[in-house]
Amino acid sequence: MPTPQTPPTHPAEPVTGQGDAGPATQPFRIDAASANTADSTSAADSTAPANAGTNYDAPLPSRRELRRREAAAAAGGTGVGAAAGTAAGEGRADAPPLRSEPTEAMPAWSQQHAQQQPQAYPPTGAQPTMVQPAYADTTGNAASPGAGYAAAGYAAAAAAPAAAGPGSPGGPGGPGGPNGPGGPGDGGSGGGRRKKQPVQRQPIGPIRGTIRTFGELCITAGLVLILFVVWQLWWTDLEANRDNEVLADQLTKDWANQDPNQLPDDPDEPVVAEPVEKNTAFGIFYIPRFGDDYYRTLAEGVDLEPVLNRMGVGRYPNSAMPGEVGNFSVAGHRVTYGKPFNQIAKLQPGDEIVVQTKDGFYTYTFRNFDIILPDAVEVLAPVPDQPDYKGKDRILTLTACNPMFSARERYIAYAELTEWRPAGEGPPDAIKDSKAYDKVSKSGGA
Amino acid sequence: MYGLIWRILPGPWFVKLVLALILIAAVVYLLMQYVFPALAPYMPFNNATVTDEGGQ
Repeated sequence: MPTPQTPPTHPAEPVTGQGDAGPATQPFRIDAASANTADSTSAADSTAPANAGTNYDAPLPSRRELRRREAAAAAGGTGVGAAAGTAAGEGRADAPPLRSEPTEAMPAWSQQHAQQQPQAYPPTGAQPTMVQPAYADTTGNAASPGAGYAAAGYAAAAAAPAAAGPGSPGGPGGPGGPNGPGGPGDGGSGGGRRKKQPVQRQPIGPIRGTIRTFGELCITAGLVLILFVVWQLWWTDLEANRDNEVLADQLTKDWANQDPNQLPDDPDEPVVAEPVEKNTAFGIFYIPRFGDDYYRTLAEGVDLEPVLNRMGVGRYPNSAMPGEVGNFSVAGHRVTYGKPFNQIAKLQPGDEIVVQTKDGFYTYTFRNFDIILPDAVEVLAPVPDQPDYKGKDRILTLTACNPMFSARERYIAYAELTEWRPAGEGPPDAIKDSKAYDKVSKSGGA
Repeated sequence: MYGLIWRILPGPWFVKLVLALILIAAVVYLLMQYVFPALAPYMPFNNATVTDEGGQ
């Protein structure tokens, strides 16, 4: 804002200011005020003389802050003040003695002025390149008092951390250029270097430090929670699906090297194998309703680790084995960890569920579902919900959590054995052409 | 906290950046490999079984 009109007015103004300044105390004040006027636009004129004149205690908004910075700068490095002094002194070297006198006579006022200047004309510091040419144009002595003084003021103000822009020291350094080539330029660059250090090294107080650390911890906690959700909903699926494939491959390879159990005399009667050890895989589930490529390994036990989380579907240890009269009950995740029973609610009566073991293929047909409380173990009874009866059906019971992402209830799907094929006869029609069976049979000898 | 870590890391800024990324990767790995699996059983949506204790 100050640039356009400054060059013409500047030479005239300080002369009149000095001319008016007969008394020893007054001239600098007026001089500085006129220098301000020269620097600034007419809009700021009204405030500057008022500040310079009487009321130093006027409640300006950021004044306390500026004073605090000034004190901090003075306490932190006396070099700043010294540099400002030399810069101003070199600027004064060829100037009338009038200027040096007030500077020493009224250090308090000069400080005051140094504080007020950036505040009254904030853009001056922000636009040093525009101020600089104005001074450079006025090479006369008359301009130098204002310039040198402004340099001191700027240097002091620039010492305030982060208040003035990086260009501000260059601005004050510039005006000295016509007067003393070396000194002011050094002061300007030195100010720039000096200004950076307090910005970096200034320690924040204990309260701000605590608040900052607390904020960082909060952000960290939020990121960790997000990471947990990502891990739970996405990564566990990836891991479990990979484990599922590896385990299925391993299982079919093992089957190829094992002798199947003896077939019963009645060809319609399925083989009932002996239960395997806990946490050991012994079967593969195919549910075409869940997808053409759906298969999950079946392991003994219903512990989260390792069975349900990493081995797919788990068999309740005391329930029946596949093909056995009674209730063959299995549990599986409905969400996360590969979610083997994610679509359990999509099963429709008549859907086939094929369980492959070393001995052959057990095809169960879905009948109905139920939603129960988590402690309703009677659904695992040979006759579900009728624990007192023994039953004569071969039942499959799937259990999963309900609703999704909740442990409030359990979703139960009942199926009944409808077909049995020994391993030698090949897979049933339901899965014969499916991608899942293709994939499983390719790697193994089933 | 992060400022302190950044200051402790040695070398120029790109070395610091690489070290910081390694640190982040290590933290993520530890969380996903050990911490989260330990916490997961306490999450409400991981119970699929029917038991006498209410599905634990």
